[in-house]
Amino acid sequence: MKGNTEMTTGRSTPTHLDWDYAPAPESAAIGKLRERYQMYVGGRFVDGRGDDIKTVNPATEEPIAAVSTAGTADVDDAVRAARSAYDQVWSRISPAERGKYLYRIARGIAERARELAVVETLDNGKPIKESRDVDVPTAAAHFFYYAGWADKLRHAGFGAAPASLGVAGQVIPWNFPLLMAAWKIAPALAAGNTVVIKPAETTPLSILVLAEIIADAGLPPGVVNIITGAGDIGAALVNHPGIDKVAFTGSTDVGRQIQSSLAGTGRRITLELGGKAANIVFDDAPIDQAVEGIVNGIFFNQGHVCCAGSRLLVQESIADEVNDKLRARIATLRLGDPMDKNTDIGAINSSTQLATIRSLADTGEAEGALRWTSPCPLPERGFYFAPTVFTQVSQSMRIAREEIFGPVLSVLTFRTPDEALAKANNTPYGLSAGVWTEKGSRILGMAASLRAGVVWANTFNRFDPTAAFGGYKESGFGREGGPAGLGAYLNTDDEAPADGTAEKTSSAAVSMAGAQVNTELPSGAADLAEAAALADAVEVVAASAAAPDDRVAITKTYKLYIGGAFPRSESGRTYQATGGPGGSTLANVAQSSRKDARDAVVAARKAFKGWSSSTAYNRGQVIYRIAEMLEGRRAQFVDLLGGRPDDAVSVDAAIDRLVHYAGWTDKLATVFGGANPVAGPYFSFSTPEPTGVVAAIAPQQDPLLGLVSVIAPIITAGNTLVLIAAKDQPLAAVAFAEVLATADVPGGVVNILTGDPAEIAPHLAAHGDVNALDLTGTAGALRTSLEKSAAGTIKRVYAPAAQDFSRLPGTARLRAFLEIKTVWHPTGAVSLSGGTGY
Amino acid sequence: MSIVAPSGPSTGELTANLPPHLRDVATDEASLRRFLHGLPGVDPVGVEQRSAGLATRSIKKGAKLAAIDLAISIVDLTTLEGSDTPGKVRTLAAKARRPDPENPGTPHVAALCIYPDMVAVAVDALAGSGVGIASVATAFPTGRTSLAVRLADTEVAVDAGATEIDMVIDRGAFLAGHYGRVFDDIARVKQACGGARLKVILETGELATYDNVRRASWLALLAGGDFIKTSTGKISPAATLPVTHVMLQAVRDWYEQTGQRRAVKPAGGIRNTKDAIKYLVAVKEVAGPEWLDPFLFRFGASSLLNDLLMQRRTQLQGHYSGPDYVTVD
Repeated sequence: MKGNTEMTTGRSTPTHLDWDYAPAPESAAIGKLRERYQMYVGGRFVDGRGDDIKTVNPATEEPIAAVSTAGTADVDDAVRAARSAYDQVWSRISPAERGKYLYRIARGIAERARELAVVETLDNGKPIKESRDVDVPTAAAHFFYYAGWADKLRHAGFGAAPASLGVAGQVIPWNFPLLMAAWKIAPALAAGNTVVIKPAETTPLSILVLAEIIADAGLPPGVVNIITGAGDIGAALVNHPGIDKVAFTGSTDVGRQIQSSLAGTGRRITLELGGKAANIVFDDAPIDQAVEGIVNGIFFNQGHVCCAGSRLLVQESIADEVNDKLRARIATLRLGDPMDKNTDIGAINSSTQLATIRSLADTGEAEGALRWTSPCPLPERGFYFAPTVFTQVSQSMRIAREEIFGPVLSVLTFRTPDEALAKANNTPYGLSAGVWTEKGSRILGMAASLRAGVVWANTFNRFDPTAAFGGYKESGFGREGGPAGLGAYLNTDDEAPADGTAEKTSSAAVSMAGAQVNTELPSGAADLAEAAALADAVEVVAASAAAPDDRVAITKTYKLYIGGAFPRSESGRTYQATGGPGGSTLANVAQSSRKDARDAVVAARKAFKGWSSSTAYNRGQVIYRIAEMLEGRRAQFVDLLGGRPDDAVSVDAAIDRLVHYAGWTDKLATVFGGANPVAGPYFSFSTPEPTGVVAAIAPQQDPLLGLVSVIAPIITAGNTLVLIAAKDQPLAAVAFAEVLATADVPGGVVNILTGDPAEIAPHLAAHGDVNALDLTGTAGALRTSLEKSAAGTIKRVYAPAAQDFSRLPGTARLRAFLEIKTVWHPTGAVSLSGGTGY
Repeated sequence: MSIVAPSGPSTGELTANLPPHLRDVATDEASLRRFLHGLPGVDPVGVEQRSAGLATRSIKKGAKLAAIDLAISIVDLTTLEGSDTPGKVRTLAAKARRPDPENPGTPHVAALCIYPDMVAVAVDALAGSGVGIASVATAFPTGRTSLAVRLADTEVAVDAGATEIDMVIDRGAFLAGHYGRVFDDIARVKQACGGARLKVILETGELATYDNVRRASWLALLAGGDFIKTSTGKISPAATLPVTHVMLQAVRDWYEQTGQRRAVKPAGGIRNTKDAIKYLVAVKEVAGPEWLDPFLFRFGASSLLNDLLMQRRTQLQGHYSGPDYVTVD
């Protein structure tokens, strides 16, 4: 259409000004770069035992400084320094004092903001306007935010007495060197931990300037230790036996290795890994702003962003229009010297990354996608990659599935919202997603259905210290930002060793039916004497429940419970459960096979959509109903457990446990979610969502109460479950399946397999459609091997130390199977503000 | 109602050069409404964020001097006061011709913008200068009178020698959804303009939302406006960067769809060089560099010119100038 008749009444030839911006470089001198940088350990700047490396300015390929690096002995030193600082200082000073130190660091960053921005840009290659306007201020904001949490931890949703973990080992990537340091250090310190942190090999400088700020803030020596080096030092750090917690941000492959290598150590892990985010544009979107969001989504920081909107899903009816506008817009992006204040796209961080981007982009062409490259000129020296857009991309192409981590956008189309959702979720990743539509109900519907930790609606790439950030599925687990970010660095009441102060379960004084009045019994192990004194009263109940029957019973066949039905095991095999008195055989029980496990996962996945999206009220009612049905079979269960007084106590505690969790369903969003007071004209909220399909192994100990303690929180959180019954104590689980079947629990929500966990669990731990493992009922080598296997698809693993199930649980078991999703939307469509609010 | 009154141009004439998908949108009020309400929405936070982002461009050295010269050459030097006199207009005309007599290389402004009764004075004062004569008309600034009076007002200005007419739209009609009436008004005024170029003042400060700014922009373009202009300068807020951004997007989209380049004029509130350069950046990056042209972009301003002149001197002399070195007119 363009260019037919120019409407130029009154003049013949256009005379517009050919106006290009003169170079506007920030001064490199502001960065005060030194020739050589040292590590920061134990409050001193020290030489490491490794060889010096030269860090290179990716914009010029010139070396900018030498950096001392760590040898493995330095890792020992740093961990020792952190441990001693933790033991002697940091865990002892008042929380308010910790907060003040963090506040000082925040101030220090703000005071040296311009210097930090220059250092970041020189070392990383990102445009100065981004390091100046995003990285540095957001890093300072993170310290400010967590400074305030230091003396308010018990209000953060982790129980009344959250405890620090000890020493955290942290490894961060090169894409946001300073910001990632802030994301890691601030919450760790606020929660009372000390840290050893290792920046990426190619971007060590800004965190070493941060070390000066930390030193100037007077932070006690050893609270923050910074060691430099390559992947081997990172590996030595995360595997170091002296640390209590590992936090890693980086590629999914390395995350997998870390999770695998930490299997069986009991060490807490959080992983923030890769992504392949869908940015979904509906035909009723504000198209010009959507185009901006697409550009920001994939070209911000050269696309070196784990949450980059690298897959554009655009509705077919506007695909051409969006593509045209997008190309026109991308052509205006100014690529070049990152130090120039007008540069929109800087340099790729390293030649290695540049080669990766080139090679993946080439596969796009080879697989038949249509490649378009911005006509922008590229500098002669330095690592640069012009903004690139692929159209006619299909889901099967590598450029639609793999994280490119560069300025390369893949455009796919869709016709209906369902198709958009299916394609968006069709990835092993789940870090972020974008939705563009002016239809409010569709925004909220999509936000709820996208399996991603952050959903940006009509905006993209917004970050705020108050808003949780982190992934679903293979994008990692754990959250950074917001109160959820503290959870990664705290032990809660039920994870900490029992100190006798936690609330105890009081066994039911009021029965579910309301008619039967039980004797109140204390239930902690320490209260056994008291329990014995009350045993007489219980015996009456137990005896009547265990009344013998003179009839000859017909044989009981123990089947599996899958998808609401009771099939026989596909294996046709049984085993002897030897949990009877003195190791006697309790029963011959089905030995589930690999195919039974598969069927159970299919059933659990099928049930997930309905169960997870049913209302919290309905889930609560179902779980109350389980409690009722269990109470109806109270006598049967007391008998089944052995008919002793303690068994009656156990059954009552199990009923109470169900009642406890039933009442949680509609509190989760209140306790673990809420509105995030983000800076800027946005409404943001975080809300917990179920992780998905969980595989669990029931404990031998406390056959019924242990079983219920495992099952209840998982389904309360909205997950579906494949449970392997305790090997030698399977009868409670088998009987409980009958309770579930009669309690209106939708088929497939809980599936129960019997058999040797060593035989079945490995199939579940490796299964691609299982999202999380609860290893309460395992220990030793099996637990370790299952944890290792779980790393294959970055499954969440809950593997607690031995627990006293009679204690009233805290929230750890709920949080273990909840993801936090953060949603953002702009506000302020009320008046013309004039655009001065930024 | 009928789109375009019997004595006005037929929609056929107006739309003859338009691509097929735009030819029928103004056949009746319902079509017009469907079209305008079918335009993509504008997300206010998004447009303000983008606009603020562009405003951080750092314009230095030669680029700054070029921008100042361009800015001077696209100023519609404006006086629209009840207290205007022929003497005041003649003084401004002299300033328009030679904004900085001590620096003869300084370009002249684009036009002098005045009330209709001052046009004759301006024609006389600006003869042969190349400076345009822009007259507000149509019962500026409210437009609250009959169409006949508004058309007569326009004819007075055109007959007196105005080369450009700055009309106001009936914001009441627009906000009430009477798009056909507004369309008719613009088309009739356009007809009355003869050879003069028509600037359609949307008075964005009264339109309340960016969606309305976009719709009003398209309405004016469809009805034949040569310029879309933000404001009368009598209402606050007057021109803002994000509002201008939305209007620049409209003329860009119009060009993509029709091949015709139409002009934009932010007016009111642009007081210094720094602000003016922010607008020029938006022009270059939103509409395109072709719009960096007095024919396609103007500033409606009174005090801006002196700041541009001071900054121009600063650029040339290497030290800051002062207000006493530029003329107060």
